[in-house]
Amino acid sequence: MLRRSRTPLTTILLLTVALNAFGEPEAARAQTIKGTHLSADLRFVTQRMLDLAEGDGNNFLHPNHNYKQTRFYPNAQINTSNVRRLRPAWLFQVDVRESLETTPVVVDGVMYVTTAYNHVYALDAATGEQLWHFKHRLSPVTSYCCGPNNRGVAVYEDLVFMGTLDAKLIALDSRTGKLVWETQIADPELGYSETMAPVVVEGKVLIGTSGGEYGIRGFLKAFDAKTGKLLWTFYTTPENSVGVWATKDATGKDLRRDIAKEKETLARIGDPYRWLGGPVWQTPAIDRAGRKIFMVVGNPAPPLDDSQRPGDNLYTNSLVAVDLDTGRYHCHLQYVPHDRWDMDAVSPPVLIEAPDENGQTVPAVLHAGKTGYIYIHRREDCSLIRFSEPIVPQENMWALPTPEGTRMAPGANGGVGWSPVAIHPGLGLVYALAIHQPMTFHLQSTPYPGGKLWLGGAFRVAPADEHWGALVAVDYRTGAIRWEVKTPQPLIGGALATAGGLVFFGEGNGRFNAVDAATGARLWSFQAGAGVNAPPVSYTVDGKQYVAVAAGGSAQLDFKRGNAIIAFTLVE
Amino acid sequence: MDRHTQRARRWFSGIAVGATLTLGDPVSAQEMRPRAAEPIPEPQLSERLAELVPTCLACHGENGVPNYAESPIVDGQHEGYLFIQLRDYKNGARKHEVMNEVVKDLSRQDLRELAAYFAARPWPRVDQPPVADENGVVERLLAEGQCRECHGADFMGDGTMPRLAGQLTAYLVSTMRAFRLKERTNNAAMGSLLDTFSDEEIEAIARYLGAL
Ligand code: HEC
Ligand code: HEC
Repeated sequence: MLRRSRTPLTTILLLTVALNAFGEPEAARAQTIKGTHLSADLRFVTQRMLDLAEGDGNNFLHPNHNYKQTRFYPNAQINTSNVRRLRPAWLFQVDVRESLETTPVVVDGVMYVTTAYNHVYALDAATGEQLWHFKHRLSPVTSYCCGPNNRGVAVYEDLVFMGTLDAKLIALDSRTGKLVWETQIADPELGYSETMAPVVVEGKVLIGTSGGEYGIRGFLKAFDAKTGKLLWTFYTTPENSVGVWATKDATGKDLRRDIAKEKETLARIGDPYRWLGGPVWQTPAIDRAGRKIFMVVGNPAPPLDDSQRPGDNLYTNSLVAVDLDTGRYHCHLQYVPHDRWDMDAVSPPVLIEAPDENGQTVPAVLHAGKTGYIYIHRREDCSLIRFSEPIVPQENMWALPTPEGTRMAPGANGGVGWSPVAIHPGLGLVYALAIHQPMTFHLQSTPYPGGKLWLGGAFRVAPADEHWGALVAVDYRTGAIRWEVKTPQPLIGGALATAGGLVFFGEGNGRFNAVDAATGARLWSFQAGAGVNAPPVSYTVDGKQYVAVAAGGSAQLDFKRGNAIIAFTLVE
Repeated sequence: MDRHTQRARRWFSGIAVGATLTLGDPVSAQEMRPRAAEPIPEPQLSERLAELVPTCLACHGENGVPNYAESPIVDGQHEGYLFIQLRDYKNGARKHEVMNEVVKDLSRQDLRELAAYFAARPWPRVDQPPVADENGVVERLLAEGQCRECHGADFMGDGTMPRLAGQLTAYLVSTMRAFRLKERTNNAAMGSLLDTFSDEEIEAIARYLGAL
């Protein structure tokens, strides 16, 4: 068998001794039990490895596989012809039974997963054995609306990074799980929290913030990976957030704005940018050649009531590109100006090559919206090339919230929620997890509550028997739906496409599925016993390909909670 | 009237309003009783806490079971939530004449320590009658209000989200009503959400949560 470790036994023994000297029995034990995959060389994540991740069929180095966030895994060992033989290789149970939204990140046979309430585990990706476990001590005051979630880590050199519910960024030693540094990103008493997986590029850790339901001022920040020192901040709500008084959304639908009244409010209260929301709560894409960061920005605060936020509310509900070196604004496109339905842009943007209106292939960026549209932009200036057919029913869009409640679909969870999409570049398809869950939007104006929940009303969900989900394949070259797989419940979690011609995704009822990437034909399914509401990944250890996913359910959609990380591989 | 009740009455004698009205009726023995009368293991009390805590216990209960149906269980509630409530009573965001008075002269540090102290005590077990959710009516209401999205799968809360499971039913009713009537304004979102439920629905939800 191929042994990938380059670490001589003596080094491992030395490591063990050293660790014991530091009083880290758990880590030390882990180091002695195994050693096969603990190559000091290969576990050290270089910028070059991060850059080449797209073609890396061994590791899964980024939450969305590579800087472009295509979630297309290039190994075809598990494929349409043998996927029936996919079976669990191991199952690991984390200590926290609460929603799992984590993306496992895999480096040289070691998997890093996070849980609700910010635990981190390092596991042997071939056996599921625990190497170390880190539990972040949360401070008592945390503010997060939709579950104690965490979506995973970023890795760089010998460090593992995680954002925490109490709005900190922490760095752990990847070999021991020991805390190296931590830094307070923002004040949780004012509504800030961290749930997204950060991304590291050129020694900088990039992270946004959650808190669109708390009247925060959103941002993307860059921290020095070595020290945790803040390098720059891009505020997602600029001091002039008014914009162009757009009366239509990006697809031309009328927003029913009362511009005259808004102008009057603006004259009275000034620009609302300080409490305007605009969280960045999913991982941005990095355009290394173009030296840009592409992020999507969430809803304005308060989501339902617009009476205290005149203007377009820039750059809420937008795709925004900033300069990779300085974080300075480059371009944006706002999907839903002056939102009143919580139509965050949140599903991670993806860098693709796509034909423009003239059939010319151009660098493009794709985003799947809560609105039910998939949008394709030019990377150059953020402008829209096309948007897809609606992938879910759009009913009563954009009817204004009222005190009695106005029913509309999509509801505030989408469309497409935070779930990352996957791309199959060969087929020109994007796979999106869709939600049909109508809501009634109730309006009730209240003043800024100083860091408390601030919705400007209430959301009520239609009875469960009216909900459903779908995995939808859309041709991003035309915007047409190619096929869809309906599911009994709304889908949240994420998709993975592979060179084996497969798409993997999970359901709230515990099913984890593989379908044919070209046709949507269901090829394989596994019942995990708890909601599979996290993005799947794939990796290869000692020549053997695995697919892994977390099954912990969802607080957001109240799918059955669990605590499993499951890895699958082919049986002979 | 036991020693603590006397102390409580003495304590807010400066507040003119009738104590029974404000605090709710003294809890009847049938309604709830601690399952075991075990003494509570005392967290270490600083001098300052030793001075403050007895007042609290007078209403919130020596053994964690409140002496009045409308004073909530605070023992074992989440530290972050307790702190934010005490902060809100102090800055006036949450209005209640007794509690506003209680925290009036306390420092932020006092509030932090009180929150940590009460959070560290065990949640008392009060036997509130079990509720049969006929035809899943309450379950449906809880789903439509997405209550579990914030309060947790088992209504155990966390951080600044309160635990609701096993809270006194009478208090749950009174505070949900207060949210609706905008008498409790320190979380407008809860007020708006509860506006979409009827009184009967709120009572059914409170009974259900109290019995968990
Ligand atoms: C005279 C009786 C009385 C005393 C003394 C008292 N409380 Fe209270 N407390 C109440 C009542 C009644 C409420 C409910 C008020 C409301 O509805 O807002 C309450 C509410 C609270 C709450 C909010 C709990 C929740 O679930 O929202 C906290 C926290 C609290 N008290 C802590 C304390 C502390 C700490 C002390 C001592 C420093 C104290 N109380 C002293 C009667 C009292
Ligand atoms: C978006 C998040 C959210 C949702 C949804 C939500 N709550 Fe709450 N709820 C809170 C927060 C936060 C508080 C704490 C209030 C504060 O900050 O003062 C709270 C407080 C409460 C309290 C007061 C507890 C106490 O000890 O005083 C009750 C009762 C309650 N909620 C019931 C419900 C019910 C019933 C539902 C569903 C119909 C619900 N909540 C849905 C966030 C939520």
